[in-house]
Amino acid sequence: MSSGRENDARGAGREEISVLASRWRAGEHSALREVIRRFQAPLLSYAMSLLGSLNDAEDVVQETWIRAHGGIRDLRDPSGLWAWLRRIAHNAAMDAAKRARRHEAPEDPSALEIQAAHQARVGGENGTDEGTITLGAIIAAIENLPETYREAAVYHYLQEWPHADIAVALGISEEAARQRVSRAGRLLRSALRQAREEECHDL
Amino acid sequence: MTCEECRDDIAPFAAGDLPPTRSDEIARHIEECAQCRRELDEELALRRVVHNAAIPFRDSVRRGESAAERRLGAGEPEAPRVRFTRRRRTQAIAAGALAALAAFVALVFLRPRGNEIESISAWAVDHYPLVDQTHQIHGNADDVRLWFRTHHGIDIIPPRDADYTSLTGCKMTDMGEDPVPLLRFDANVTTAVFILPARLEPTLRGAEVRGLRRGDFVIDVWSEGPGEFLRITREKNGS
Repeated sequence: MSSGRENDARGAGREEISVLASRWRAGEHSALREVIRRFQAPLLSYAMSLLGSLNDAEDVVQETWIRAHGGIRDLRDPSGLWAWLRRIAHNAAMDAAKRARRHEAPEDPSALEIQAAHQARVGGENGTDEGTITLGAIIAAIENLPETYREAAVYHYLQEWPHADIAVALGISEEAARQRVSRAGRLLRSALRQAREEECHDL
Repeated sequence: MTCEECRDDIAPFAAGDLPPTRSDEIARHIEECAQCRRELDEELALRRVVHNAAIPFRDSVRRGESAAERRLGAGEPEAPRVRFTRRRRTQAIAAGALAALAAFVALVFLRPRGNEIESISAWAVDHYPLVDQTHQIHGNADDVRLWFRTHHGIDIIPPRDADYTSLTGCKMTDMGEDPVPLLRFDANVTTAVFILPARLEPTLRGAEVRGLRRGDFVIDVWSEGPGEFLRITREKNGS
């Protein structure tokens, strides 16, 4: 990771979340920047687990930021910033899903067959090819982790941040960050192993 | 070292993120333990796969961060904070006090005289939801205008050519000898315009608008003479 990004991540973690949220609410641009840099990846991961498509998730996260920025004054408990952002992302994702359903063309059985054949050939974004783990499967496994390990897994496996940066971002010691990543890794390996076994079983 | 302890540190070991002594311990254990070696192989495979699969994710994060910062103006420089020094604060207070004094002098000594009817009623803001500012009555006997400020902070000043003959949704109780000839309310009940009878003109002393509830109110107009009192009541649910 570049030193610039490391510094950003450290900057985001230096302050308690509640202080960061309060500064954002007070209109400080630097606080907003820090919040975006800290939560962009976890929000994207969450949105993708809901929608299954990286492009759709990207749009939903943008929508989340716009809604959150417009409603930051409604945030009653600044320490609950992450839960609040996640809720907004959830609502935005649900709205996007509704819009998509509305614009969906009437289902043509022959088109569905073609689509199914294509999925079988290339593997869906959520599925797992034989011996290959897709981004969708990884994100599904991460989002299924207990909350304590989820952010650590996003930062470590998806973003490839070093433990020192994760520690700062999560406001915990480096040793605690290492333990969370270790635990998240064990759970992830187990989940993905299970997914692979189920896949083999189905075949 | 137990297998459990080793597996707890497999991920940071694979990432090369352990202190050297701990890393050596893990390496020694893995050499001797086939199961932990398999665990390490799985972790390394996971890292390789995730590294490749997550490239579009990391690109998307970077793109999204820039887009969000641009859209929300987070990249703009902070507006300089205005910090009041003690001297500036004193100056501001002095300027405010001077302005208040000037306003008071203007009100007391420069107000219109003669036929002009003065502002007549202090408004109890807390009690009257319809109006939150002092209303005023201005004009002369031929054209008396009453206006007040609604809770939206809008001054309502009726036009001079207003139709003074309708009285929609209002009940008028003339408590004097003659009925008031001309009176009008607008549809939103934010404006009252009336022309007082000539007999009230020289002795007109006051009018008071009291909002009972939003949309309902009473206007009392009175003069010095006995019985010279007019009450106008907004009917409930009136248009």
